[in-house]
Amino acid sequence: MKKLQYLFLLLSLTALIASCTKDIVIPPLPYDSRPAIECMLKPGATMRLDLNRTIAYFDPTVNHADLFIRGANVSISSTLGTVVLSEDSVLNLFTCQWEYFYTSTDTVQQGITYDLLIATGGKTYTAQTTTNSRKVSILATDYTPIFNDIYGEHEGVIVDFKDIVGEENYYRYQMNRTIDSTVYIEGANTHSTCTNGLYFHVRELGRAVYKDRNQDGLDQRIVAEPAYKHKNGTVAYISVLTVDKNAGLFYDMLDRQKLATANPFVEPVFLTPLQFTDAIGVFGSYVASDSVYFEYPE
Amino acid sequence: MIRYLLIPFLLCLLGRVQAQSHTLSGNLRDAATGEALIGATVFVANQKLGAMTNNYGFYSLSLPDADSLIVVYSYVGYKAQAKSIAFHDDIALEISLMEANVLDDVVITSDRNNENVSSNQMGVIDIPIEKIQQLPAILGEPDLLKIIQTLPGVQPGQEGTTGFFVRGGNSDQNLVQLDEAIVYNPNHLFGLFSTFNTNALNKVTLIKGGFPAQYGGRLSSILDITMKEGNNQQLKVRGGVGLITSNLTIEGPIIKNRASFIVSARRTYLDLLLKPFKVIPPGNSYNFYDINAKVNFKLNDANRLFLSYFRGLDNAAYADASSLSYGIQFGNRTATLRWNHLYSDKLFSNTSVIYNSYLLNLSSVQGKYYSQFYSRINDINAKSEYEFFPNPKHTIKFGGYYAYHIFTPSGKSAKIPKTQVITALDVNKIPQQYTTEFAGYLNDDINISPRLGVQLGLRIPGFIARNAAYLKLEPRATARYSFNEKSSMKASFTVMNQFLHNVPSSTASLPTDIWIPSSKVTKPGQSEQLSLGYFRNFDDNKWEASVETYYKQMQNQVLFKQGAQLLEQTKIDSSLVFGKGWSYGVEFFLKRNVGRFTGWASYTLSKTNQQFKDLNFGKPFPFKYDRRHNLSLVGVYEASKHWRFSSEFIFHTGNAYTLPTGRANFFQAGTLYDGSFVDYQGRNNARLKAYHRLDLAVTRKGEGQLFKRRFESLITLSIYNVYSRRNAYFVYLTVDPNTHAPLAKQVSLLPIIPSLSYNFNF
Repeated sequence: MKKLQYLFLLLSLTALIASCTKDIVIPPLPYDSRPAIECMLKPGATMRLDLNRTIAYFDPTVNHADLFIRGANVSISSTLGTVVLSEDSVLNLFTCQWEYFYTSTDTVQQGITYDLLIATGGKTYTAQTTTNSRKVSILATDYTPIFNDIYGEHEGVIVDFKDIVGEENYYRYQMNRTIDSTVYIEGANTHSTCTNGLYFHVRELGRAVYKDRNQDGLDQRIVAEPAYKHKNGTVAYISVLTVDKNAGLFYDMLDRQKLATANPFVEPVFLTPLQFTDAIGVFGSYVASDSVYFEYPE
Repeated sequence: MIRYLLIPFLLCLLGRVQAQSHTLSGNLRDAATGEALIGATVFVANQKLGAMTNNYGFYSLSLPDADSLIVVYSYVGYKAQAKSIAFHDDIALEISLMEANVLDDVVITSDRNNENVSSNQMGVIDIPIEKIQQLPAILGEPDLLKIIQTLPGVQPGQEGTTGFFVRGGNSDQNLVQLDEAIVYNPNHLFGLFSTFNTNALNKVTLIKGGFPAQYGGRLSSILDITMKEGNNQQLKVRGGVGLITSNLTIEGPIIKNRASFIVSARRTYLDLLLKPFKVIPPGNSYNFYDINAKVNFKLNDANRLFLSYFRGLDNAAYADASSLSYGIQFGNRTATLRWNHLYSDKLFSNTSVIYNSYLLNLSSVQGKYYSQFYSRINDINAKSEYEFFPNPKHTIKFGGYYAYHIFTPSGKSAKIPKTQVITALDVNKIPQQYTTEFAGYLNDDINISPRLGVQLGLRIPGFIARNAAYLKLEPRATARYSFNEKSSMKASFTVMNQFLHNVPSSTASLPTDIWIPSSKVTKPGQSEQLSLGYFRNFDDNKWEASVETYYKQMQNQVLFKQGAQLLEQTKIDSSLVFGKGWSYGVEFFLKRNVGRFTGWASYTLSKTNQQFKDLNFGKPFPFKYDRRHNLSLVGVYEASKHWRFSSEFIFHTGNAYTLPTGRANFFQAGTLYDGSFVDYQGRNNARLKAYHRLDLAVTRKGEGQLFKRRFESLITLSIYNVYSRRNAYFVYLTVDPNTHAPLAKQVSLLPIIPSLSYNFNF
């Protein structure tokens, strides 16, 4: 009896512990693809608009060339006239993939209201932005090897600046630097495979959007986690971007979705079309502070 | 409203001015054990009048003078007893009924045993304790809540768990009370077993609609569990050895016929048994235990005292290097002191003082993230309830309830630091929240004529928190129209309020239940339920059948905000969103009560939706446990004196879960991100595959002598999930490391599980 009981015990426990995980094919849910639009105007810079189609979740397409919406009529109008954007591409030297976008050689002016019009697939998409964001002055920068916030524990580049008085502001962190093919992004573990040891420029954008709610005109501090690996003496240039409200809300939504996706204890964040009907994306504007020299201490 | 409330009182007065009457009252008990028979029938055959015993086995019938009364006392599973009584004075009769032998196939019950048809109540199901012990069970552990899950209108939670969801309500909307004390988390082992040891239970009743006014505090159901009082005739020992637990119950008289006790305990020994086999990796441990104890003392014919105690606790630690680790401690403790008093043979009272507490302390790691939840509740309650039996047509219940709750909720969730050192929540620094809950009620059960009956009630609950106070009105009404003694139609309307909320997370697969009180921000939940039913008995009440439909709407439902991350947070309600829910369905139930073959079949067709302004683009979405079809077939066959066979088949639509429908690329989001984002188009927009499984059990019964006493033994072989269907526990998404294409993976938990258990009784 006792032996039999042990046998049953072991059989049962083995069965109980051996939870089974298997790949499954989920029947595709009905999904209507829609445009994903991203266009951030910066006074003094040329216009660039990313226009890709969203795809069904289990669609195996990952190549940017297959996602890019070609043949769209893209124009940006203002009191200065209408600018028609045309298709272009550039090789991303870090991912070694071609990026496709719409662009023009016209430069964006400060203090102007711009209207976006995209016509594709028989539909039109419109949005508006005004390039009236004001830049801040960076007061100081620093580095900390350990910092804890909503993203967990990470190293941080500290940027102090003063908030602009009397406005609702949204800020993002930006770092420009040059890297070579040995540099990778923490977690992604990818690095350039097409630069053959040459240095190239990268622009690093912080994931968080900082809002000056209840802190109007006060000193602000950003502690941003660097994306690209670095070492003692690595040189970079830091700016603080003042983005308009539409851009602030949009990139904050993307950030919260990533946090929720990674953290199994958090409810998923749905992307809501903030500016467009039947499309997801942003048509916004920003201005960058004067960049500040920064050298990593480690 | 007032007009309707006056009706019962007028009818009551009418009852008092009729011809001279006397009262027949007393208690019904089990002849062998002295246990109260709850819900037994007392039927005066020659006057076609009857009554039911209350939760303490007491009954009272006021009848006109008569030379002779023929009174039939009956209870399902017991031999009925008929008495002829000369009735010229008040009479108190203590009746003891003998258990019937099911193999006779003719268990004598009076033709009046049709409470499901004739009572003025609907949405009520009594769960026979012996059925719980006879049906197949995981690892041989008989489980009350698993049986509840097979009833119409009740949806089970995730596979293998004891969570239950009644008529579209969340699990926190079920009031589970043991001897009147609230049990906040009635589970062991993450819900694989319930915390109730069936050896210590006397009566279990589930109410899912048509709530009488004495019940309140939750929106969806009441699970009222009464512990045994203990055998007041002789010392009895009952025990069992299962694969993971053993249990022992001792009961007996302290003073024969006046005072008795029962102590029942159960503990896992998985940790101890497996130690020599080295099956459990280091860092992993698991054990739980529960203890039930009760003493009762009959002071005299008018006074009786009960003291009951319950303690259940789980301790677990699990470490899986690949993905999931946790440490958890959770449990309940209750103590109830009750005083039954008979003011007269028409007025029965019960006064209780109750203490209960609940603790959950959970730390878990999933992937690169960790979470900590701490939830403690301490309650002190007082209740005074009265039952007045003015005449056979009326039963009036009234009373009051007071509870003082102390909540200590907190939680946090974040990415694991590089140092791998996670700072624990400092439970001493969590601010406590003090709240007061109270209620008064009046309920009248009136049989206007043999065909027509109503139950009318009003409950007035109130709640006081630091920054908010609420006072609510809850009208309750049920009406019955009997076509004959075998069939009736019933309808009910009830309003319920709930001041305590358990916020469920749709993502984590662990019990992350944090109880919070209503506040200025978190308004009390409210439900309104309308139900209509047809009840029909067949073959001399051996078969019961019913069809019930319902529509229920629920206000002030709570869920976590999108993306809300708890950061050592104690003001949980700032992370919540509020919305509404509604559910409707039809429930079919066919039950065989007596004979060699007993069991039931239940089928529920239902739909439950929720709508929150800040979730799912403000559009309605299915409730996680919205299941269109839910079928249960449960049967027990007593083949002979020595062999019993039982089986259970469950089928239901798969759980709803949120599946992204699209992907979108945005390259100017943070560089730390890969530029790929998820396009959700609906919350709970996908379904796990349909769930079904078959369980079987065979029991060999033995008898003998031990220490010159009758000794009974039961050896049960149970097989859970006979055809080892890999039912989906949950689905998660990942990315192919080579192609970067998204992948879906399904996790299944419980395959075929055979088990063997041994039980004895002497």
